[in-house]
Amino acid sequence: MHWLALHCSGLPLEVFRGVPATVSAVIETTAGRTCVVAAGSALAAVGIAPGMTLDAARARRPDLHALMRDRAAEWAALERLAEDGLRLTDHVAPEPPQGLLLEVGGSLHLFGGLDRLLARAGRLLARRGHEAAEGVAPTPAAARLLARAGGGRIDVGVEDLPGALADLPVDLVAPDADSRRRLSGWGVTRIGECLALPRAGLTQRLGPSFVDALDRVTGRQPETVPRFTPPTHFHARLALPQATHTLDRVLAAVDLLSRDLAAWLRARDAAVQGFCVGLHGERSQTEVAVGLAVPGREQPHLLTLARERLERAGLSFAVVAVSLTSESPTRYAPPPTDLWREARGEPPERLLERLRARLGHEAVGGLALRADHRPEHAWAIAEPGQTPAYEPRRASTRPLWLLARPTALRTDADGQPRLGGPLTWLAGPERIETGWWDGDDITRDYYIARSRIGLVLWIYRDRRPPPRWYVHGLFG
Amino acid sequence: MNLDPALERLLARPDIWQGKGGENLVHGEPTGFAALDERLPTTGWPRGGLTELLPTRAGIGELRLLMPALARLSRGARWVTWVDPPHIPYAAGLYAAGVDLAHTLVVRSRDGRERLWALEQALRAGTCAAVLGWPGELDTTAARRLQLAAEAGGSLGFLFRPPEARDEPSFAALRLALSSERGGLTVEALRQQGGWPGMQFHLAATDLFPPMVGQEETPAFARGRAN
Repeated sequence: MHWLALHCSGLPLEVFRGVPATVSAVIETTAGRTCVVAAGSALAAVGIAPGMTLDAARARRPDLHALMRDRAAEWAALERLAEDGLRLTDHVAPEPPQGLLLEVGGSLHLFGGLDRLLARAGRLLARRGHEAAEGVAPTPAAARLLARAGGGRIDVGVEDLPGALADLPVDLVAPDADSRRRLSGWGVTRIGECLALPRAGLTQRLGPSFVDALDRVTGRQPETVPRFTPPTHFHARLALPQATHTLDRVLAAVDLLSRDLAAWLRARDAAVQGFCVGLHGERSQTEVAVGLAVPGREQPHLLTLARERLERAGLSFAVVAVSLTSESPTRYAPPPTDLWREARGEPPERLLERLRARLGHEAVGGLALRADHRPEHAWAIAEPGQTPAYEPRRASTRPLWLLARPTALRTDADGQPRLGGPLTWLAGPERIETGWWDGDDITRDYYIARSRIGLVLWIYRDRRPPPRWYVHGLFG
Repeated sequence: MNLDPALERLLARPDIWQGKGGENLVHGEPTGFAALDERLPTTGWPRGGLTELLPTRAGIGELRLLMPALARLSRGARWVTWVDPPHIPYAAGLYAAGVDLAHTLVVRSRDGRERLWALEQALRAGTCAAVLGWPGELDTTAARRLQLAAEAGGSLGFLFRPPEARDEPSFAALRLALSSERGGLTVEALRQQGGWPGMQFHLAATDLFPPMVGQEETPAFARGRAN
């Protein structure tokens, strides 16, 4: 077994994006004391270290940018890292607050050795903007210990582990300040010295939990590491550095989140048909649903759709955080490409999605025929690209344009309809008398006529009293 | 280029793949009216360019002029997109004219800005075989943008403009004034890329309209019933 432990000491700070990281410090209040948890590089240079109180840190660096610790964001970041870790091995465990454990023994051969695997892990971390100390050891506890000690590698078997660990400070194993004090009081500073002590005495003086911890490190006592199972939905939230009314700032956050979503989907070989962008304000929040015509996962496309939707929705309050939640992923079907033509352009659904994202779902539609004799019911708005549900064998002569509302025509003294002069009759009548079953029944005689200025009209005479003439369509 | 008409028709089919250089054989999308194709420098509707149609009155047959090409294009894999048509494009009439409705997109915008955006998106996407637009007022910048979008997307763009637009500068590859005459259409080229303006051509009603509509005389039976 080969365990890789990652310890991200900077994680509390790294989860804040868009802040001046070098002069920022993450603080947390415990038992009435506000202490620094993580500090940027410029602060570390003047001696500001985790554990220091905020006042003491401010005394050294007055322009320090203090951030409240966001444990939820840290957990989410660890979870994302754990998902990335699934690319290296199937046995991953996030270990809050700052650790991640991976069993890499089975993957070494696949990745071509430990060095390559570690390089790959480093790249995965860097892509998310994290840094970690790496510990590799035959037991999980030893790997963890090495990572916390700043990194290290032990390439021996479990039986030789005590010897390999002998020089490490015993403080790494001691769970609390009290046992650390006792150990130093006895003059025991190294793990090796501790292991040389009689076990019974150790157990009596420091408690069974300390000995257990020691046994887990040396492999005397086995440790079960739970397996991480990735969530079924993607959900991520990003706090903005400050409340904003600017859409561009929000979109920058959506950009980052959609990258995460795309990576998340790629790792699963999945795609989504829709996702939700949540805008969170101080008091109010709103959700904007973004839909795709066919499941997709290309980040630029997801971002474009979200942008169009957000531009349309607008911001009605100052946004402090942005979240992104996916629908259940579906299987990804790569866009079909033509064997012969060079892969040019995008799949046809993309245009539909872009138009709908900006103009609204109902603003874009297709056309379909319906099996109904009434002209106004013989067509319907359909989902574009769908196979038609009904196609008549024989098409009757129909105009290209239908007027949304039939326009009444004037008539001359003989009762003949006119439009800028007398009409030239071309065809008709075609009697349409139907629709009694739904109350919208009609009884009309349709004719085709040409007006003086050259419009070819589809006109009808309503046979119900009072008989009147209407234009219902245009042929041109 | 003199080709066997049967071969030329075959090459014009959108579902037949041609090797590189094949595009040079056919400059334009055949209009479906052989006599009109002959008179256009692109031997058809210019591909990857805008065609502006300026009928004296909306509805005199300007849409009919496009039907053969639209019917053919709609059977390919790309969209035929209508942006803000003035009336309902009537599915039954389009079907009767041979259009495959599955590839039809009808877009309704709320204002002029959205309309231009939608037109540009559709023209640029490269996934529209033809884009039909009723842009109304069109300033020089917008007209130029649309032409560039059509070039980028390789679509056929058709803009229906009011007759007053005649005097506006145009960036379109082809601009035709249409007037109604003897039931048919008189087509006048106001501007054509690669050709001289001033071409005039008459398209008879029998060519333009379906058989029953294309006739000129008043049928007696219709008259009698109409009373």
